[in-house]
Amino acid sequence: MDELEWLREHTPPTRPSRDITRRHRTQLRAAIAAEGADGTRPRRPRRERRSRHRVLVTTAVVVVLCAAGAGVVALTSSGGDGGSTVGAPAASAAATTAAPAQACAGAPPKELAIPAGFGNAVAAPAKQATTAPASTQQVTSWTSDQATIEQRWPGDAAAVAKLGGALAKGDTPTFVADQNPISDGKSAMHRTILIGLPGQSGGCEVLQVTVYGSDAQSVNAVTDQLLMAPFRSSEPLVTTTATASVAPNVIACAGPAQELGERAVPVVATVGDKVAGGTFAKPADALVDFLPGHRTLFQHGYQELDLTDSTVAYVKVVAGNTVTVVHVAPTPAGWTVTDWQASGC
Amino acid sequence: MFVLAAGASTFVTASTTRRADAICGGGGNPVVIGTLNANNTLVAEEAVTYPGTTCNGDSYYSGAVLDPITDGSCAYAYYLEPLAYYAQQGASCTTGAWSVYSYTDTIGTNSVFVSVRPSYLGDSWWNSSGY
Repeated sequence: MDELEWLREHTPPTRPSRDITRRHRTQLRAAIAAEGADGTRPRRPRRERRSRHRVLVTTAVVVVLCAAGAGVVALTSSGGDGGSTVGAPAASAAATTAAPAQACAGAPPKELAIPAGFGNAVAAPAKQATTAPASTQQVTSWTSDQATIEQRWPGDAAAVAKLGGALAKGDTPTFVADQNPISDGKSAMHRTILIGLPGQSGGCEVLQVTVYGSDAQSVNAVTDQLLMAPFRSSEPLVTTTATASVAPNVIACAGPAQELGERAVPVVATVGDKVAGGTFAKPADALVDFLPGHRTLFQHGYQELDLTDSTVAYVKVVAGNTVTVVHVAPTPAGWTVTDWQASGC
Repeated sequence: MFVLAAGASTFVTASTTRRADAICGGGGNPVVIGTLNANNTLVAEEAVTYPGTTCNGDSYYSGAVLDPITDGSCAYAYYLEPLAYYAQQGASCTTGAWSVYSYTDTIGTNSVFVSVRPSYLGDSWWNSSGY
């Protein structure tokens, strides 16, 4: 018998024997019984279930945060409350990405006095901006039919290095601004104002405001208005109330403290006039009506003096000197401004 | 932008020394400077009188001061060349009026420190150069 004949006679069976099958079934049942008595698919270990739970919760949180962020962006872009505190890092366009750290925390310490005719604050640079803001700058813009005002805080490093030498070096707020509109070489012009913010530090001492427009006249009109009164004032119209027998006299302008070369400086001692204004229910309302027509007089911070002749004098004091007195008198129709006097300088 | 010629009332011959230009942020870059009081009211402003003819590096500056508000004080432009020159270079003593002045720099380089303010506030010095 050769090898082939031997293999033919001793071929292993294609089916397992009954004993083997029984043994295998017993082992299988034992294994099933150990995992689950009903033979159902065993549950995953508890640790894996927790990981899955975490993934679901994290995903949900991310979705909610993204939705909330998108809502904020939509609100600030479409109106909101129109406040000037709107400001966002320049690189925060994608709400799903983490906002970069801002160089200056919170809102700027002074609120820009946006002229009438401009829309609500938008947390984005001006469309005409010639330089992209840094990711750490807060950027806010306002747009009218003629111009766009863009605020950056802190100011651009290059602009501050070039012009901002004296800004915020003391307690006195100061500004420096382009004297003339600068063309971007295309269709837009702009003027930039750098305003010092005393009391700030860490690079946040300078607020940058740029006015963009399609023509020099529009840019100049808005910029000059901002230069005259860049910020809203929190000082009330009337700061104190008292009684007096008569109103104080205003101080006359004394002229320059020293001679200034060959030509004398013209000096106006005092100014003033009679007034025939409207009548109002309260004396302060008459003052409110009077002041906007006299922009060279302080627009707030007056002392109210109730005089013995039943009239009221609104007095402005600067550095201990009375510089403006506005008289308001009662009439049968209400309170009216009758006259005013002020220093000539 | 600034209609100053008609209202020009003051012309001050500058210092005896040669210096840089008044408030030019470098050659060809005229700028406006201003000072606010603590309640954000503009109390003094300075600007180049003829932007097309100054800030051109010839050491001659022509500027103007504005007294924008009735506060009982003139608005002054102070000039400082450290250890060499300090003066009220320009002044406006009429509220709302620009007052023209000039400065010819004969001291050192073409630069000078400028402060614009009323009498009751302190100086904030700006470096003006390239005038």
